[in-house]
Amino acid sequence: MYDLVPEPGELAVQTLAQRIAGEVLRPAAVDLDRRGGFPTESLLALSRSGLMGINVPRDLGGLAAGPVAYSLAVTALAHACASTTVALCVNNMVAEVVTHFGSPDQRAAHVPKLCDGGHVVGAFALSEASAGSDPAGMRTRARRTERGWVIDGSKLWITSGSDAGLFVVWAKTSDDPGTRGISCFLVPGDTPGLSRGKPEHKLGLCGSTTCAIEFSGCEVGPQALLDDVGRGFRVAMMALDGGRIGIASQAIGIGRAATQAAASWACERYGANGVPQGVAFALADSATELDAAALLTLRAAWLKREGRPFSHQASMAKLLASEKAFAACNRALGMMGAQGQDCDHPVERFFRDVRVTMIYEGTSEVQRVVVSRDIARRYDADPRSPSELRL
Amino acid sequence: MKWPAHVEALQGAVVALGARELGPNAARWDSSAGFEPTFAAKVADWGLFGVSVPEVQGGAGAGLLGAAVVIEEIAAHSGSLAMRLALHEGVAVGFALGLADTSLLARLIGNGGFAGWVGLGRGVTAEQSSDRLRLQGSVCMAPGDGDLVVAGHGTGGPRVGFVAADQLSSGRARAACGLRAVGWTDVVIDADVEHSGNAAVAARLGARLSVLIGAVACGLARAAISQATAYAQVREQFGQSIAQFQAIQWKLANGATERDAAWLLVTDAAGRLDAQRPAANEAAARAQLAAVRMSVSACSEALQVHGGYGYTREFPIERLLRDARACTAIDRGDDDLRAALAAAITARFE
Repeated sequence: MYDLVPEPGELAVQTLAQRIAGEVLRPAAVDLDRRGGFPTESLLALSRSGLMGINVPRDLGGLAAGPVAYSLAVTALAHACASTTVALCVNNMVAEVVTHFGSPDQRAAHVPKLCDGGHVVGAFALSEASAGSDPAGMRTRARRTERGWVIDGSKLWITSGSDAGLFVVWAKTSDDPGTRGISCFLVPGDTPGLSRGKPEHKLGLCGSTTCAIEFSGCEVGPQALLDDVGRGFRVAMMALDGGRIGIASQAIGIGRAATQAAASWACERYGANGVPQGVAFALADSATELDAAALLTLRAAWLKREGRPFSHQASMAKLLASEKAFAACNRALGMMGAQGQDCDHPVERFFRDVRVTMIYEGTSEVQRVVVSRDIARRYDADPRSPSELRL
Repeated sequence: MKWPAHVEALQGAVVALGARELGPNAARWDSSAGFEPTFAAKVADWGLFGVSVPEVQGGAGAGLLGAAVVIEEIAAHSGSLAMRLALHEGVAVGFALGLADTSLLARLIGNGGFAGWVGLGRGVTAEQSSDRLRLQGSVCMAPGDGDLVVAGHGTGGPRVGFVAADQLSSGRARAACGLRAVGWTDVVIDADVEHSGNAAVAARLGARLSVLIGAVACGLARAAISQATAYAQVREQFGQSIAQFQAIQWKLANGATERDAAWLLVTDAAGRLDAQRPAANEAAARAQLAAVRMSVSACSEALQVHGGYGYTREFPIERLLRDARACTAIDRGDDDLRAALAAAITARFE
């Protein structure tokens, strides 16, 4: 079965993340949320700590601590500042993608810079106006030339798009139907023909930028192609599977922060032994559901660490974690009345920040599609064996 | 739903007003956290103050049911304006109606500005002398900086009084998660007031406000479901509009069903309060509890239908969710409402 007790090295990374969360991220979180923009200084501190490449080999500048450590660290950081954490998550995802699919030259050129802040951060440019949950609707195209490739099109909702030094860009390279004609490119942020839109005004994660990115005759060399032509969708799916562990961990961190803030408020208002059941039971529900989600997330991370399939387990984790974290933040805000609505209290920020975890890197509906397809596949293989659905 | 003719006429007028004056400005009011200084005068000109007041007393004569219908319609455009009207009509106008105070009614129906409410449990003390009520306390996040109806506890039990704006010291303005244009402000109350009411008055005002908060919640939910439906019909993924996916259809169906159920509770409670029927206060608490919970859920699901677009301010859906969530911050929260309902239910079995 599973050994969900983290190893000492993984716990050390968690401790490191908790320290930086307390010393750097939490003190800056309120101001960052209010003024908006990009969390430059917090990311600089994270770059110095190695946390920008948690699951990246040491010879490329990472911590080589694995996906369990990554999950624990993200939860600790999101507890303090979800805006900074989402930039870190995407950067880790980009670093892992280049490490896994890149040529030795690509790895050497980009991964150390993703880990030490040389690229500032990496960004993941997959979504488009007409291609959100469905990448087959992609319209960005890459045309092969004598000198490499020319990319034209536009991407939407690109996390850290305002400041990223490296973009992983998906584009159609043939007219093959569906996702077969999609390829993947590494495009430095200063490439001529790449332009960044204004950051979107959003409900939450106001301290992280989300931009449109335009590619207009954006010319890159042949070395920009990541993996083989037409294999981009596979790259995206692998990245998203791992990314979902990150978003689940992020949601758990935010949900726990809201629950702790509400518990602290309740104890102050009613006294530790006088909290009425209506409030106490709501806190108990939140704590229970978030622990269950954390265990699902650790299971997915453990499977990934062991090199076993983890796709539908990552979807289960993200589905439950994001929905239960939203419920926890909603409960916390509701029980605190007017005080919860006050922007001076962090719970309203947690409520705004957590809502997007049910949307990005695959909506809850997409996660349900992944999980239900897996159930159907296993039952189809052996309809007499419900044990297939056991852990 | 079929309303009495004069309520239907009011609703029709507000539908037109909403499209012309409210919808186009709602996002701006939200981002600037308030209305223009002259806005209350416009609202008075539009006849939106005193909807529940009998015509002989200068109002629209539509009762609380009419006010609920109007406020539900306004909430579909601007939650903040709807909530300001809910506070004004539900509490301040209700207070003046109970006292049959014609000068106060004239002030509230005319251009006296929006009045707000500080309910019980906000730390205000209320000491009644022979002819005056002394109200004292510091309130964090009061709705607006105009006149306030204030409830407080004293040695004689709960009391409620009307405090004019010039008797209040306004502190700093507060940024809030939702209903931002309500204009949340810290206030210091230290006032002797002439007109006051007892616990029964406070309960009646609370019930009126519950109905109108329920109406705000229902209007927000209706707008959210309408926008999600429209979006689902034009948004295509996987070669078809997302409205053709069962997952989306169920969200819309559940949202519409739960919203209609909550709206029936709200209008039933409004009718009971208008007719002074038994258990009206209990019906009002039930309506608010159901409507606010429904509204947060419906707005959240509608945001989900919008996907990534829903998280941006490019679409109004994120504002609707914030506003729905803030409905619990105005007066009694879910736990207080449940406690009141449980007390009423158990009393019937004693």
